[in-house]
Amino acid sequence: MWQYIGRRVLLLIPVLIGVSIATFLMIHLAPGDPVDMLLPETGTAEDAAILRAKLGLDQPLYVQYWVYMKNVLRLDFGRSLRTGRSVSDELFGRWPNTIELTLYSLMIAVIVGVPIGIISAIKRATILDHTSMIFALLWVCMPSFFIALLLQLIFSLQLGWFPVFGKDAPIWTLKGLKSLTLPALSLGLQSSAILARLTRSSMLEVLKLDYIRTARAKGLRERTVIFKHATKNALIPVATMLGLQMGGLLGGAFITETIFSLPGVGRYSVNAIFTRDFPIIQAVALMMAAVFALCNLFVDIVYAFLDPRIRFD
Amino acid sequence: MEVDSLKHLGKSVLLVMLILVVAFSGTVLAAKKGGTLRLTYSDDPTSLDAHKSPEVGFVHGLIMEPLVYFGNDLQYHGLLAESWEVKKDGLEITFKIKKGIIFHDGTPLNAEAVAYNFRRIMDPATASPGAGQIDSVKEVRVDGEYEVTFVFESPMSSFLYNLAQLFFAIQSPTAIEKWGDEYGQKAVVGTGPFKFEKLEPGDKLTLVRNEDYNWAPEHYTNRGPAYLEKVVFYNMPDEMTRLLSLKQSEVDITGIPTQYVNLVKKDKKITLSIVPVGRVNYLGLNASKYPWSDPKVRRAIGHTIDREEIVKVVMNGQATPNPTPLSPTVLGYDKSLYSLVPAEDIAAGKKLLEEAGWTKKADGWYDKNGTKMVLEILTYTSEPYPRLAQVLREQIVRLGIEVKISTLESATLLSKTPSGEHDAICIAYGWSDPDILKYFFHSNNLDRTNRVHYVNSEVDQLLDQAQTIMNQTERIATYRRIQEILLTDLPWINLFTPTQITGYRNAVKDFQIGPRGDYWIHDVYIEE
Repeated sequence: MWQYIGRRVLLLIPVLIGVSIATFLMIHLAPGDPVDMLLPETGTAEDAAILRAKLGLDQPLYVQYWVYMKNVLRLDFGRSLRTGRSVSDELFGRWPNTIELTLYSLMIAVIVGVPIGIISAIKRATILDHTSMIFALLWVCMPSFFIALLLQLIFSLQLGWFPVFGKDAPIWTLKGLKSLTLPALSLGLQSSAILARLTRSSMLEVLKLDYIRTARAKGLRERTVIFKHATKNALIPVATMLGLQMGGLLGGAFITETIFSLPGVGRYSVNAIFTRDFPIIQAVALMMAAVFALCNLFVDIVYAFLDPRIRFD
Repeated sequence: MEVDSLKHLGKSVLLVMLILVVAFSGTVLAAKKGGTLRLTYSDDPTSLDAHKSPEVGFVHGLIMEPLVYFGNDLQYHGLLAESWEVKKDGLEITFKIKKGIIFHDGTPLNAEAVAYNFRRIMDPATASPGAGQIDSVKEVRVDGEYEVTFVFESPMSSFLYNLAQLFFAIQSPTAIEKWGDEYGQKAVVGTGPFKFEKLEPGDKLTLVRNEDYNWAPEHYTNRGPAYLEKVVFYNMPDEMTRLLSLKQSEVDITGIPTQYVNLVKKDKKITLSIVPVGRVNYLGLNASKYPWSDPKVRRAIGHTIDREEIVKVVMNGQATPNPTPLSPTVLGYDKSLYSLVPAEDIAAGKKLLEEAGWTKKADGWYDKNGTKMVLEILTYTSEPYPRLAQVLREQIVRLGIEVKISTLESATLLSKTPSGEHDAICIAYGWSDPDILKYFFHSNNLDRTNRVHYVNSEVDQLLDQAQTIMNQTERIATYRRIQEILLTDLPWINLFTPTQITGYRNAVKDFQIGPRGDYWIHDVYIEE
């Protein structure tokens, strides 16, 4: 298995090089000049030329790419064109916030989604099943920014239980946990709905299989049949989906961080896109690609634990 | 008798005690003026170093100060400068610097420090966004410990205006040298009423009171250190979140988008301030691209515009219809010019189109040599631009011109105008000096800010001339002439001047807004 993991990690290198080239080309070919965003209206063409040269944007694209990659290999993602701050410093400062939010959301998604899915499957075609699936459908349809606004209006403005924005304390404190709850809910509820529907259908399929019938025929208690025999197998597709959801949640964090004013990577990159801050966009794209690939790898490894028949040869 | 005396004595003691208590409580109340003011901004400043930031504002103004400021009497006053004298017909201006002012790092403010700052701005290596505004300055000369002279290539009428801007705020040369590239990010040192404490990127910026400050501008009651102990700016990009956090008392002051004004008006805990600002929204027609290059076509479109309706529908009534290129708060704004602007009159517009050789086809659209007249308006994706473009489309199609709207985020839109292939742009600008017109209409700026590709040698000449006129009356007359030509040629159809709407908690006391929309907080304290 270690060999398999090593091979997969090595495969990351060409993936990341590909992503770096694609991102670099895309952002340089897209219309919009960072110099336009960095100069006020009173900036003259001469000012623009000076600034362009200072930022190295007057160099041919391949030179810019070469310089960039040389620095990336030393884990130096350059400096923001806009602020001049080190992109590496900012990214490493912001990643923990995004990861905290994403994991908290994922936790909510699993804690809410999986049990609802299992219960709906067990209580198939009952009011409980219909109600939970209708709610799941509603959550899936609602965009996260809308859920965020609803949560802000109800839980912050009306009830005053949670702050409207920001995170002033670490997550392991009650204050920190409270400030991340609404963002995590707005991000996680949608995923929980997807997970609930998936768990339900997967569970229903498993419950129809022969080995479940055998287990019941053996006289096992229904609880043992469901939780020991059925759930483990039913969770294999859910685990795959979790990997994808992790990526989706990271992407969704872009919006949630903006609404709740959280200093995460998502917001950092959205601002960078608007101001054509190339080094930031490139660094975020690379890191996101790496995180996606690692999530998928993690899911593959989890498979082996859920289903011992799966081997990494 | 003794009993009476004792009673009198008792009463007197009580009275004295009462007076003491009242006086003491008054002192306590006065001493209690303070607190932390919590504000919002939509993003961290590009740099806290005003010389390197393309956008400077309130945040910078708390940390550092310019030589002069624009007072509520609409005149310039010395802030770090004691006085100034214009010499050699405007070719030299000598400033006397106030004595006894120290930077936050303890170094003194003197003429050398001022000269260092301006030389730094003018040095191309700094790539200062404000450098273009003072390109007439040939030399900055130190004439004494507290005397500095600016030498110009040609007189510069807007020099005081420029100088009052924070692009030209004075910062500590010692700190600039010490911090190098990190200056403006990890440290910033000025003479302002608040000192930089910490910037947490994407999260918040904290400033603390400068205890040594005692040179506040005259429009404040408090001339010593600020009452507020701290000022915190929260980085909050979402306008709805800003509004909710104000309603929830999680911040004290924030800007209110026009569409939410009525919502805030109902909130008894919040006070609203609505003031006009030096901003103009306009529809710019590409004067170098046919058919928009034909002034008759441009004026025909001008005849379709109903500014009252635009203000009502798009701006929720929170704007002033303004058909001229300058805001009412700016020198040179002249209401008598309104008569030159085409009034809403579709029949007159159609007549002009027909004079220009266009004919109306059976389908209702104007056509010339088989080509239908189609106007594509480029505008931003953010509000109110898409709504504004839609209302403009509804107004212009009445003439028989098809209108398409392309919403683009700002970087893309701005990159599309230098080539001159666009038809029209629906954007806005904010500036408080008429010299800005040079950037928008001078043919030297076709590759950047003259986004409507307007070329008129008379206007070029007048714009150059206006920049050097030191006499205010003459300068106003020149800008009037420039506006007359622009409003006749109509490369810009000016629409309205928006208002700046600020909401603040009632607990924020003695908060004022300056004539240019800037927050004046030196007298402010929080009363809970």
